[in-house]
Amino acid sequence: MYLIDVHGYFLLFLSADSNGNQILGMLFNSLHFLLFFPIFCYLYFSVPKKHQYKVLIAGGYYFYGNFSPFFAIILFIITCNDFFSAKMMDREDSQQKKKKWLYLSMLGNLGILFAFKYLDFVDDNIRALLQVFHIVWVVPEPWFNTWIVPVGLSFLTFQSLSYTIDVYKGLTKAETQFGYFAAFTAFWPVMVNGPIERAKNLLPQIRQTHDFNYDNMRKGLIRMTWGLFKKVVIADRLSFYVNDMYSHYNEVSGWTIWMGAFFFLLQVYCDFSGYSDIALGAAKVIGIDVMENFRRPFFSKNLADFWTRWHISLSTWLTDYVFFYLGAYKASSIKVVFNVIFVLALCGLWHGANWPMVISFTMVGICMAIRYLWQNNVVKAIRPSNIYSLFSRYFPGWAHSILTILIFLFCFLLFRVYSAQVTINHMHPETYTEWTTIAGSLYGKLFHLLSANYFKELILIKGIIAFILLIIFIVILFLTEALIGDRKIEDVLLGQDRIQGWSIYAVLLICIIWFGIFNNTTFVYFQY
Amino acid sequence: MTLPFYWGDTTQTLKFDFYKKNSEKFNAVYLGGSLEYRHVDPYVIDSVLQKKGYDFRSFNIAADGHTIIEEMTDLDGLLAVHNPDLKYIFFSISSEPYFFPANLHTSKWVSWHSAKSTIHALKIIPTLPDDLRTRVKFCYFYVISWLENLFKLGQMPEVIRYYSQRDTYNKNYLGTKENGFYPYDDEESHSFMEYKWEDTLIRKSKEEYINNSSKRDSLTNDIISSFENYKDADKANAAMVALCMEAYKKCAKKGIQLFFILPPRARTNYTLLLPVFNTMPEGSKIEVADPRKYPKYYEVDYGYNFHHLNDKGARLQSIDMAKQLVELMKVQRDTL
Repeated sequence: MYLIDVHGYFLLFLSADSNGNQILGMLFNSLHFLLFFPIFCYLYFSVPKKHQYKVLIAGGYYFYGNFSPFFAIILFIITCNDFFSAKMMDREDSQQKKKKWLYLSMLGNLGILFAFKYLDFVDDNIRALLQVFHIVWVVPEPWFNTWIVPVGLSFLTFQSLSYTIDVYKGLTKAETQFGYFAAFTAFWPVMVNGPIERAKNLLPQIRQTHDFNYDNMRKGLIRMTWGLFKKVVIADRLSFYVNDMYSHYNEVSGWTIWMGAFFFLLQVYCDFSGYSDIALGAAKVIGIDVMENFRRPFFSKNLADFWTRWHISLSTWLTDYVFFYLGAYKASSIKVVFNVIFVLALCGLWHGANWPMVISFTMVGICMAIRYLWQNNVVKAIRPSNIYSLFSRYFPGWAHSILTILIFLFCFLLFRVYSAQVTINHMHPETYTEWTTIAGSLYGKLFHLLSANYFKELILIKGIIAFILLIIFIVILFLTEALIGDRKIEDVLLGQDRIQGWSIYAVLLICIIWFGIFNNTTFVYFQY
Repeated sequence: MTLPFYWGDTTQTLKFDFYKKNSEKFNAVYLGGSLEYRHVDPYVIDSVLQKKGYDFRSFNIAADGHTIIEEMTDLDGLLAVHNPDLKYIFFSISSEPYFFPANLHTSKWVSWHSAKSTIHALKIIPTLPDDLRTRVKFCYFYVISWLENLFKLGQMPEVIRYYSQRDTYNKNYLGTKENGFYPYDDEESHSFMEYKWEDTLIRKSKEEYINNSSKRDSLTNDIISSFENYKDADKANAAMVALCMEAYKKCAKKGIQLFFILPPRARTNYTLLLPVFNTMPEGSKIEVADPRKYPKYYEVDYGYNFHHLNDKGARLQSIDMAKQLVELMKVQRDTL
């Protein structure tokens, strides 16, 4: 569900009720969370250790119920379904018998996901298809198109589903205590925006008791601050330019579109990885380690590499549970090509029930498949000949990174088209705009490289100073990522001498306070 | 490097800076929100009064979105500007401290709020006849806006913009006669708006106003019934009266006459505004709101949207205000 924010011109990704009123819960960049988090930590560490998991459950249901009490009910249903499915699975002695419980779990998770997220999409497509053949669809306007999609439902269901699949495969033992499992599904730091945690990593940590640890707190807070910096200082500032570029799709051309596409990719990255950083940091404060979700994706050498660095928890989920199930790289070349494209299309569908998103990811999949064929045939054949050495010399690592990002920008341009369509049609209900019109206009003018129409307006709308500041912050981001490499920022900062470490931390905080955007804009990934 | 109270609002910066530089040219200033900014034409009023032999040179310093709270801040800012010629200030009674929550967190809104303005708001809001939730919510909004201004939460780009670009702000907003009056008719075709989507919103509000006659009639009928049902015994909101009187006394102390205006088409219910207005000292009140006395202000021909007059309506209101002002000044002169 999409809606227009209070300024009426830029888009927020969030649940909305049938009247279009946004459902604001406890966002990580809200005052509410600023109050919630210390109280939660205090309670977590002050209750008797054996009751800590109960604080996690209470915190999780409070956190999620804040969006809507109805969401908390959905969470409880998912929890019950998967706990009992896994428990019953554990009692069965044959895989055949276990399978029926796995199906029950899948039916529950995917059924809920389908009902809330995809039913309307399927209905729309059936109607459109029948219209093509001039068949009258007698079913009245469905009742479900006003349903509110629970925030982060895709994350919740995938996390819970991975547990039952792992139990089925024998990778994890079924949890015997309902409380621990409820704490696992209601683990609020990752609940609405990931990372999609695995039971084998999170459940054992939930079972353990945790003492307050000063080092963990410092590390967690540094990570949270860095995440907040990315979110409120960079992502939210980028959103102005991105929204404006897409809403003026018919005026922009050439370099403006490339800049808009780059800003959008960067916005999604800072927004989503910022959220993940806050989630990781918050979990660290209470002594729980959550899996990393991003690893400097802008430094990827190729699309496959990009995929191992971007939204890692989802890409590994799809690899483990879908790609390997399909045969991975062990099948014939044609089958591998199909597998790659299929998994990426599925990934697009996971991101949003609309065609532009599915096509956007499918395009990435096709590019990955082409690269696979190129590597497997051409590169393999010429390596280590002189031609290959020549190619390597004149096409160094950084050129690979730039090419990868350019390909991604090209594909990702479509990712935002559906939401742009919703905004434009909301703003101008008198003239309905198809998403194909927007996509056609953007792609049609993408390579008009002698032009930068609307570029000046785009910068002037928020002012030159805001634009220069934004560029400075982007440079800071890339420089930081280049300097710290694959190390964690908290480890790097704590490794500095005391004055240096505190100075950097203070500058980060000041940047957040003075240059952050605090108008409760929502995290981009909340729709999924 | 102290920031003035209007740093976040480009229009107000322009107006105040202009007034500061040219203060000796003016001896009267209008304060208020959009109902004054868009309705009160100093040129018309000056002409009428000058024809009657009064030395009257006025400037419209009102700004969109100002409630009674921001007006008080404007007044303090105005009195701080050295102008020995300043004789008259006009203070609008057109709103309670409520505002559009959509304005929250914007530099424009945040910049207007200090500890003093927050205290003013917190004194009035609890006494308003609304449900507890609304009152608590708005009290919170004022406190949070003040804190945002105090720590410049997320406002630094706008602060830098103020320091580095204030001289380049678009001068159109001073009006064609550089007296601070800028009607909506000019605004809709103004291509240098601070926010690009504003022109769409303004035009849409006009379209809706023209097409939705039932809403128009209902608003006018509400105002008529507020005036018809008003009784002298109606109790005025004490906190609002206290604030207005504080303004009156501040001006009197400096030898400035403060006039209170009750403008037409206010969003706030007149059942709240009328008793407050009528409590103000005799000889200081200019009422141009009553649809029974001024039916034209509520006619489509004179309106821009539901709550604003067009250029034609503004001219009419300015003439009516000038006529009342002549009478009040005549009484004052006769008394002296």
